[in-house]
Amino acid sequence: MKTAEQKNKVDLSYYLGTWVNSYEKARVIESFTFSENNGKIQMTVKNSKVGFYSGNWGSGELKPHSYAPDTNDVVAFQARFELEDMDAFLAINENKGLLIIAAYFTFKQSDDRSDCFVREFFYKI
Amino acid sequence: MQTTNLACSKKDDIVSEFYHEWGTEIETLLGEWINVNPKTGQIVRLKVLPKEEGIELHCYGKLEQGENDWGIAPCELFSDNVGSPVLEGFICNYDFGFIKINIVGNIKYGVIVIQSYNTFKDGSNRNNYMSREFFRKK
Repeated sequence: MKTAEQKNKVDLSYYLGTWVNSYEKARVIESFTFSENNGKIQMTVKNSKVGFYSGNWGSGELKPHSYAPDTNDVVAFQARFELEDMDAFLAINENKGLLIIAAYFTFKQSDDRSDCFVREFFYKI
Repeated sequence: MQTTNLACSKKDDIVSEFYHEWGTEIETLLGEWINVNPKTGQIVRLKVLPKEEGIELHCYGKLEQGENDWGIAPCELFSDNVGSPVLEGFICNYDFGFIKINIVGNIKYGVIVIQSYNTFKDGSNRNNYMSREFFRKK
């Protein structure tokens, strides 16, 4: 498939499907699914049952990134989700079969909660 | 336990108390683990087997067609400090004559991370090499 974001044709089928957190006590995301819709990749997130956020993520669009300006591969993505009471920025990269998500959470209201960072690991099922 | 007379190579070699049993994490390690990289050319899967109070590893190498049963190797176990009962890593090795493979494993968020250090002994001028790959529980 070719994404609207990529200048060159890239096979993203490797990424499509469901990825599961390797850690049973996932801090935020239990699993997620990548799907293709009109040339764009959508990410649908399922919350961890023991995480600190229990609201609905819905679906978000992924922006793919190559390793270098002159390569056509896709090795990473970024995604932003505007959630009920916080914004989530996800930096996602692939490493030998794992997808690693570094997530930055920014709370919308000033309260006792600290903006936080979570890094989790996912394998494809 | 008296620690003042113990030999040490660095500060962290010394602690006031010793544990003789590993944590229960050994139980969660047991079973079959699959390389999450479907294109691997390294260990395609491994089994963690119980052995007395420790573990041993049964690895399978990826071949062009099928896999190569490496057999079973006993492991040395490691925690992340001399006072912790929690299992954090292990090492073992295989010697196939033409190559010696040292395996270094650690456990991180439900994934076993395996580094292998491959030393050729056959005079073939192949570079010794290392790899690092990730395994999920089957």
